[in-house]
Amino acid sequence: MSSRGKSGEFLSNLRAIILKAFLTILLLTPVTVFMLVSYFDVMNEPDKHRPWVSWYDDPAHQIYIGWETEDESIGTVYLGEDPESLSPEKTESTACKIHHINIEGLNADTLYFYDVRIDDESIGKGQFRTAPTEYTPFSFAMTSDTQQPKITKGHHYRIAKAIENRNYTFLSIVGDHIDSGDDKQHFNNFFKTASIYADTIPFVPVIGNHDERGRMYWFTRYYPNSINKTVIPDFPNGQFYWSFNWSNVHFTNCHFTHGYSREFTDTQMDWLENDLKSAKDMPFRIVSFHCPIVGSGFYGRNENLLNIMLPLLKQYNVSAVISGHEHHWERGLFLNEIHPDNDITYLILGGGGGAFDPGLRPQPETIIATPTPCYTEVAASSNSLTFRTLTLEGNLIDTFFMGVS
Amino acid sequence: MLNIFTVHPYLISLIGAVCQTLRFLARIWLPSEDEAQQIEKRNPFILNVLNQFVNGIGQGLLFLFGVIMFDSALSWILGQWVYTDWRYQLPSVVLGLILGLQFVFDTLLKKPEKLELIFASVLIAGQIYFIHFYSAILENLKDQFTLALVYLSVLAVCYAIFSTVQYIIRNISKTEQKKQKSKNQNQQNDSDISRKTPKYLWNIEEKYNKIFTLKWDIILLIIITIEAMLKLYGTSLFIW
Repeated sequence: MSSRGKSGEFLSNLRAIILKAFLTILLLTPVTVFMLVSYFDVMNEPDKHRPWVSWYDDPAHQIYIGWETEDESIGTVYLGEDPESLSPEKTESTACKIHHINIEGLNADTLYFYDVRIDDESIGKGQFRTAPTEYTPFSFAMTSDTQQPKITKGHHYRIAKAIENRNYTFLSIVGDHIDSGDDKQHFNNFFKTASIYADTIPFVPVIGNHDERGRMYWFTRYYPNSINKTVIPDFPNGQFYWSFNWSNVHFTNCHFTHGYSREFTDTQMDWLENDLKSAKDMPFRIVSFHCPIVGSGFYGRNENLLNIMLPLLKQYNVSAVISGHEHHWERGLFLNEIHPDNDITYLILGGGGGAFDPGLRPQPETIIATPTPCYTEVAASSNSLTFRTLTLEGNLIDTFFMGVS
Repeated sequence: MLNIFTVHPYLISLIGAVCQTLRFLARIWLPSEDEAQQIEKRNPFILNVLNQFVNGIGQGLLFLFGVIMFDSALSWILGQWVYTDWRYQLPSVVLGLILGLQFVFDTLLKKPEKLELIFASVLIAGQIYFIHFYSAILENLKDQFTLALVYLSVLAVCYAIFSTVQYIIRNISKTEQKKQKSKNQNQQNDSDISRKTPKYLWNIEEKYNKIFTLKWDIILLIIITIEAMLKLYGTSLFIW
């Protein structure tokens, strides 16, 4: 072949390679841009977000308001029953970045309005209702695993938009609020998204395995709800368990994130037994912990929870047990041989924001399951609880009714 | 609900987007059919065998992912999950049916011989058993994720070995045919030649290529990539 022919072939090969490289870039650019933009978006949420409300063990008379600032500051909470005339309730004594003001002596079953101010400048207004001391109908929402996948925001944002105007008394998040408990950026993302509803809906936090990473440091900074301060080797910041009554329902929130043996500490188990014993006269008892006893997803059947927790739940006639951990939604039933008129319903609420399980294998106890973005609302009346699970477009996935046993 | 493990349609859009992207990359970088035939003639036999094996692994994975996608879509249609969240699931299900079938036909079922059809059936049965029944009895699915990948790889290697052996046999018979032809040059007739061509159970290649054109593939790539992105935000093409 002549040198002219050779250079012609070389040029045509080069042209072909350039064209192929161009097509490859064209093919991969949208996905790469999507991932980079999503990652940048997720990892750069500011510390600044709306205040949030939760409580310790007496929501009829006590709540705390939490908020965060980028710089250390001293804040004041203005409080009142009339949003137009709020008066200063309490001022912090020391400057900090993650703030909590505990407010006690509140009237039961009362709608309060608040305004958090720093240097007389409002950084967030909101409202909350204290718990009633006698029976009053109410409704609340539950979800779990709002943790966003690392490359996108997940669908916690869509849940936030769906519940924004639903007037729920509170939102219970049954663990894994965030993906990495040792990375503060993930909490920034969570609270930024939660700001959509946090001004009207208080939080009921339950700890999950992702929350407890970094020895629960950040989680307990944001949520000081736990009554347990006992330091034990496996839990240098204590375990996160607490309970409260709201109207005719007793809520118990435990620290079982994996269902490992080390989580069944004497302090938690003693507390749990006493708590359930003291709530035996309540019409309904709902126990929440992150790791499900049985589930159709990755983890299947947890022997520790089956052997230790389930008998306890049966003995104290628990109405429902709520979990997350597995990323799908599921409802099932444990037969209760001790109280045959009250079989225990279990719910797995893993449709809150994380990437879904790749597949499911229903357990003998499973009634219905699906991996879909959803949340569950519960309406409590004097003698029943009605559970409704909704898609984020408002379609009903499942509903069931529970009477007093 | 059946008490078996079923892959969820959520995974279809993610697998589908990755497979479809890789198919396009292969289309861009690998030689066309005509070019491949010329290269094959130039290359030594052993290199062609090696090439066939590597190609077989890719084809095998595409076939197996096609089966997973189709199976998952079918499970949803047959009622393994609830229908009330159809706006979230249906786009993945429809894409799973189309792309799953396309991957399966593209690799083995466009013009199968009897042996190929038997092999495809064995592969499908092996995969269905692993997904629906073997996975259902595992204690912890997360720990066994590696096992699933190993199983998938073994099946893909089986596919590669099968297609390589087939390639070798075809080439040996071609060589023999050539030798025979040169020996009996004058006696060779048309009926002898037709006896040596592969006997396909069916051949829909022409029709298939008319339906699944490049334009069709580009449209599907765009749709499934958007669907996969939306899924990561908890939404879908039918939710707006």
